[in-house]
Amino acid sequence: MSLFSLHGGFTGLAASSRVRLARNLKGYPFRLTPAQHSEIADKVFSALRGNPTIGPEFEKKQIIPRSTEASQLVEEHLISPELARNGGWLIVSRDGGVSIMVGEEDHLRLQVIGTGLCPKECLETANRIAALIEATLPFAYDERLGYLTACPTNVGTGLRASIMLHLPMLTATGGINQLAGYAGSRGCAIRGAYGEGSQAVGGFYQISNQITLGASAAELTDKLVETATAIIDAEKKAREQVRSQNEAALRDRVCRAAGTLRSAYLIDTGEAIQCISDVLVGLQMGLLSGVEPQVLYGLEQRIRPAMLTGAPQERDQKRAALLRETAQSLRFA
Amino acid sequence: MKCEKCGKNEATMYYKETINGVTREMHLCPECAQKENLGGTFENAFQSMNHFWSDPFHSFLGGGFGSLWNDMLGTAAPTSTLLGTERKCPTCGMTESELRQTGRVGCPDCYSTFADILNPYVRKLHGADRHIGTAPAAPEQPQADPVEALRAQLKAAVESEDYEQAARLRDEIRRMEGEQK
Repeated sequence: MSLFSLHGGFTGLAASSRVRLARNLKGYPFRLTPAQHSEIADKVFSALRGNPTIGPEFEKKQIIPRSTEASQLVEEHLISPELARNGGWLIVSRDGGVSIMVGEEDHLRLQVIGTGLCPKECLETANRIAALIEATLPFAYDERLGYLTACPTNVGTGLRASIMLHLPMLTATGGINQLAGYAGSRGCAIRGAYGEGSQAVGGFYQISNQITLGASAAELTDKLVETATAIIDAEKKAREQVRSQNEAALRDRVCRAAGTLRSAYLIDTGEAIQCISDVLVGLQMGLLSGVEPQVLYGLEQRIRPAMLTGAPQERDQKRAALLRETAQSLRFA
Repeated sequence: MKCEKCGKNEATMYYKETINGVTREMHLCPECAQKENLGGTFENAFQSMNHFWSDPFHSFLGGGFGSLWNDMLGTAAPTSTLLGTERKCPTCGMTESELRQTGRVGCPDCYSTFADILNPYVRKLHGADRHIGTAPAAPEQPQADPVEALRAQLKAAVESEDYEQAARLRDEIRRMEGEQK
């Protein structure tokens, strides 16, 4: 049983939610020496450990620059590529639900992750943890500008709330370009979660708030949820439209993907993500059953290159083995 | 585990490659990994991810630190740089040209030092210039001055001729006064 595991709805279309708060301690410059990072990590860690309920849940790890462990933590979304490159500290709850990076651009980057659509719940937890730290370690705060950050793009709430959406049909029908405009008009940014530039492999997108100042963190999060919900509805409509136009073709694609996952012996990341994407559609539309979407989202993380060691072909083989194991329980409706 | 190359530092990287059927495996420290030019492997590992951590402003507004920053601030070299009389943040020493180049401020006080540069940028970026919402819990409680309390203890210690305790308290008071300065 983990203390911080948050779960939201729409699991078939919203893979995960996360909230990040950027905070800096009062009395330090933004750019710190490694010794100061270590000092701040110690202070934050003991502030958390001082709380009898949640304190024991946390552990502190040093991030060795460019280490294999650092790369894996990046793939698990627990640290940023910058922290993996430059080193620093990670204070993380045992279940990975709450993590605090020390040594990024800002002194502290507090992150809360949940599954499904649950940014509000993530924000509540993030606020609780931030308040707990702030009770003993005051943050750099300005009456007018709010929480001060190294980059002016984060000033104010320091909030970055984000939802990973699975929108393959909107991608296929070209509706995604309109969505970018729609999201922009609502103060949100949407972009592909994997792949170069705007191309989104497997139809996975990240939608997040764009501004951090002038509205409260709760308001910004509400707006994000509203926007994401509207986009989810559009994707559902697009799926039904595709079904009504050519159900046989849809079923063929979904079942072929399931077949590939069940029997492939070598598979690269791109094809694997595409197949997982198609199978997720099949599960959500009732064409397949037997595997929970959350299991596939989790799998999609575990098959990324840094999570599998070895030469490329060896990785393709390990990836295929992982996918075969899960896909065995898929049933065709 | 020690690095297989230098044998001195702790190995933090595992490297494996197969070329023409010959497999090479190494456990290396970051230094040797860089010498072996394996750093590229690390850099490339995340290239295919438009990562959660990368800033949407920076990635959306084009290269570098975003065209908005460049349009508004990045291009002009302040005359003062050329004259050697450049403005500096008194707290952290960040100069105006460093700020313009990096788009990052050096410390909380830079926001007031460079308010004339940053305020219009912040307003344009967020469409607002006033924070709403969460603030530090309560204004700091006006606490009884801890130094004052120690002084009273010191006086009592001197009166009771406990000089050992008095010396300890005196040092403690000096230390705290030093911190306050």
